[in-house]
Amino acid sequence: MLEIKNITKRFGDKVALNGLSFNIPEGSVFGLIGSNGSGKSTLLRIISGVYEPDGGTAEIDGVSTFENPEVKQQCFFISDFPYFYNNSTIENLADLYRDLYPSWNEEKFKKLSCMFPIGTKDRIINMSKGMQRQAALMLAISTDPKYILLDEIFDGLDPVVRQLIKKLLMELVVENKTTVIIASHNLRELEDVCDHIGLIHNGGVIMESDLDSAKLGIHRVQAVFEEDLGEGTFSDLNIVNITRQGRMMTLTVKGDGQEIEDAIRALKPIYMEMLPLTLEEVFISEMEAVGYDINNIIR
Amino acid sequence: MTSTILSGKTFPKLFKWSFRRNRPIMVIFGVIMALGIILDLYVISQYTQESFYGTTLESEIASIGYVSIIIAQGGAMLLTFISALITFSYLHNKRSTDMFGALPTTRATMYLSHLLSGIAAVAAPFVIGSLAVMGITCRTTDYLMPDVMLILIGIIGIIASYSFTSVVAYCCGTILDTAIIALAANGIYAGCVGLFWGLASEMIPGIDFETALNIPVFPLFAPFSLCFFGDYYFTAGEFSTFGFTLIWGIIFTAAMIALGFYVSMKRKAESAQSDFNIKWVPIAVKAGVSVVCGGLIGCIAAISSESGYSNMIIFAFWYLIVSFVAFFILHVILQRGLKGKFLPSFAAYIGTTVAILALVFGMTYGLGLDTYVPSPAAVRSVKFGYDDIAYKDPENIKTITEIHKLITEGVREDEGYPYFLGSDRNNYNRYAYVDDYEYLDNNTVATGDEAEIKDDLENNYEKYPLCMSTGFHFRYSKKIGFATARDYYISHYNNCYDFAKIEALLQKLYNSEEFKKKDEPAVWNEKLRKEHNLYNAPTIQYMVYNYTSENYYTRYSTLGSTTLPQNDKFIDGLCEALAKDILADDTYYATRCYRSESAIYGKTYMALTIDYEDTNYYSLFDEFRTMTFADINVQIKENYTNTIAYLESNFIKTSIGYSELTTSFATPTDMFADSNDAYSDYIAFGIDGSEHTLRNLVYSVSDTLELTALMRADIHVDISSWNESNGEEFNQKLTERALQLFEEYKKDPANITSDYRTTYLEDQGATNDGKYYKIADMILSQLDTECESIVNDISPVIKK
Repeated sequence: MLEIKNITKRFGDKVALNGLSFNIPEGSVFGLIGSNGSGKSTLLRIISGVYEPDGGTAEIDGVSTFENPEVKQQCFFISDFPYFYNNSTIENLADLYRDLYPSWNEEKFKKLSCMFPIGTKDRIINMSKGMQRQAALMLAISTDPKYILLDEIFDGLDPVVRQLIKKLLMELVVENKTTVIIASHNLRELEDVCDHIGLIHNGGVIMESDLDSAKLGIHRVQAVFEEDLGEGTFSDLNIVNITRQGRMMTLTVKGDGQEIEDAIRALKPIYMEMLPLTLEEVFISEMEAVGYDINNIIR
Repeated sequence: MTSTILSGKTFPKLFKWSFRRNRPIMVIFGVIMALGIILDLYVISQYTQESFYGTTLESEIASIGYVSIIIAQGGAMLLTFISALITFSYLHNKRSTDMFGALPTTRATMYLSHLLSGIAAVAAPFVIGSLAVMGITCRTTDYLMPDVMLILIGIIGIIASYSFTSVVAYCCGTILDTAIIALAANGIYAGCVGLFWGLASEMIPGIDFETALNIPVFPLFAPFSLCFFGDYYFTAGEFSTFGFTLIWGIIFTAAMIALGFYVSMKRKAESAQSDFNIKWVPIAVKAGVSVVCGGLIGCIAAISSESGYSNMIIFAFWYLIVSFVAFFILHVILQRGLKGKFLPSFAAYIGTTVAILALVFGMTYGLGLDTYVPSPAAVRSVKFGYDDIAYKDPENIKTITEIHKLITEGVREDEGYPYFLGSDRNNYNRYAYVDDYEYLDNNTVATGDEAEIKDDLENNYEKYPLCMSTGFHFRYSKKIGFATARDYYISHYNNCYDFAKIEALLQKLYNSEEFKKKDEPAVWNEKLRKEHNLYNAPTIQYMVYNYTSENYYTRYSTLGSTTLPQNDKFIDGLCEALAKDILADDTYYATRCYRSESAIYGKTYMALTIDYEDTNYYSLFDEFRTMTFADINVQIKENYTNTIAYLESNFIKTSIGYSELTTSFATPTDMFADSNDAYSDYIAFGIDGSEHTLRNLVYSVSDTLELTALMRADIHVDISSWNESNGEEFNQKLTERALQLFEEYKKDPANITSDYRTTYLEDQGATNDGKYYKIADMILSQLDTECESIVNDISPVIKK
């Protein structure tokens, strides 16, 4: 299990992470979402041992990852802009990783080499952004990591490759019980693969739960009432947002679905329907709750 | 820590990978080295033995090897710098720090693997190329040790520079900053040291810039200069300084690697592409660059102006302008514009400016450096004069400090006080620098100081021969570990110094037991005699010094030589006898007098010379051996009774009367002459004392007055029973016959040929046309056949 324990990280005067704590269960696919500059990438760098936290620790099975090669051998981190030397090829990078990662899987590497439409002897620096990510991912999966940390991995990938990557990650989870941590703004893709979600903002955790709970904990209701009800009518509910279109009201409400439904039905609506929320809508709703909405940004 | 990392699993893997990344550097350096080797081979192929007269082809080719290795060191330093920047560039890019930081290894392992792989990539071609150069240029083992030393200091230079640059890389956020700081730090240190010594030697009597060069202070914190100074010390014969530099290089490297570990652990990955990790570094660099630039231009401007106070103002003016401009430009470069904190840097600039100007104006009044003499109690050892003898006897140390004090008492009057930049110090026209006595002798008209120098010759050189012959160079090694060096070039014309007192102190010093023993160490040291193979190749020479002050070059003639028995016991006995005589000799100081033979003896004496091979010539850390290129070279005077008795008891002829047997006759001017009219030739006859045979020698004295035997033939006559008058008569008859033969042979034009060469002449590398050499050879052959009848003509033969 990966434990984030009270991690603090500062860059000069700026506090990037402020006492962050949560756990990521083994074998889960964890989506790390948050606003720009919220600290997602910084957290991934701390977990992977690139950055040393100013306070707290990131531990795998109770052992800190920083300056610990044995633990780091179980992790692979692909940053938002993977780095390659001018003359790097997939093959010569494979030479490095083959030596450094005891879990390197040569068979898998060969299989992936055939699977991805990129040359293993070509200079990676000359490849497109998407191909570079594919190269990095090929190498990462070939190390058979217990923890794979991916920062904006879906950026620049075409839909087919995105599907391929999601499939490969799922296989990794199934076969290896690998824990996948993906930081991304592409919530649509995350929704497909993640079973856990962590939402961070301004260096702190806003929400951390399994995806279903996250989705089940917030609901959208469309209803039409005979009379024009004021917003105060719903004061018993944990309303996140209310919009009106004619007499049609759309309410975003936090809480238990059945209780919300019962409460609205008690107001005798002419029409009422409980609508499912996408992860993006959950994100926006949660962020609005902490004052991060478009109106505030524009102001 | 290092051993833990080296034995770890990830180190060899990272090393291999990083080394592979440095292959382009290896290839480039390898190509450069290969081109150098090809060039060496080409140059060597153009050489022939005839190209070198007075030297050997072997030594010339060996010197090509030296140059090649030194050039290779230059290439190594350049590529060390480039390679270190490339190798540690991963620290200066946020994306690469993500990749390397996430690898399953520690920061210390990452540092060491990158460092060692980079060093190996530069050092490997350097070593292989240098060994190849050695292979094609070294003919004998004589040149092996110098080459090995140059390679060794080169390797240490590479490692020291690489580790230094790596530390700078960890302190900086970008490659550009790393490059600027690494170069500036080297340049600033060497520049500041050079500036200080340059100013001091320019202004203060006693301080000498060349002396500073020989003190291993320059490369201390400028690792890129380490191997070049090492080369300089080694080729200059400063072996102890070279040894110190070598050891310092190792210590510096170890310190840099330790510091590298420390900064690698302290550096935060997020520092990539950001500002300096250590805030005071750019401030110090800016202040340092301003000092060096301002000081350099200030000095040039001041020295090229008139002497006096105005020079100091000119220095200050240019210093202020240039140093500020340099400071400001560097500030803009390092801060990427005018943003960033200006005040701390400017405060540092102001501080250094005030300090430098105070120092320079302080030097005007000598700062006490011109009159400083260490207390004898604080001195561990001192070298004095031109000798490399380290005096340790407290009495001698006291004597030397007293001499030093007497010099300092006159120096301000002699040199003109206060001192300014651009003064006329060390001017050979004003100062009869004793090393250049002959220079003065030959240039009196040119300098226009003829009367002055003649007066000097008549007075000081005759009255105070030791004062006039001694270089007043003082090298103190103090008990606390520091060194003080002073070099005074005193005027022999002004009566600023108490020459009488100095002369007496010098006599005392050079008559001391310590001096005598260190002057001829092999006489006292049996182990040294064995180590230097003294027992295998000794010769003894007798010389008579017939001094004439008018002609330096003809003031003596060599009477002959005798081969000593190659017998350890004999040599040991001889040394024992010599030791007694030398210790009893109360005029031993005369060995340090210029023209000592005229000043002290003025008559015939013997000089005993025993040569040996100094196999430990390049021993680095043994002061005694390295400083003493000891043959035994002793003047055996009439009062060396023990030595003379010992030689005679071993049937070695020591009679100076042999000289009367030897004679020479001037030949007609055209005899044996070549096209150069300046040549004057004569026939000389000498005696081989061990074989008791006469030896006939034909000498030609060249216009450079260097005695060169052009031809030699033995006249086989047993003279063991002769006395001096037999010898004289024989010589006269032999010479008369030689002249007759000459007149006779030259009538036949076939005997006068330019093509004639004897093997001997060719061995000597003679280049003249050999017009009369055939005749000379014919005469000598004929004399050999006739010598028996000539001997019979001598009557009666007197038995000894």
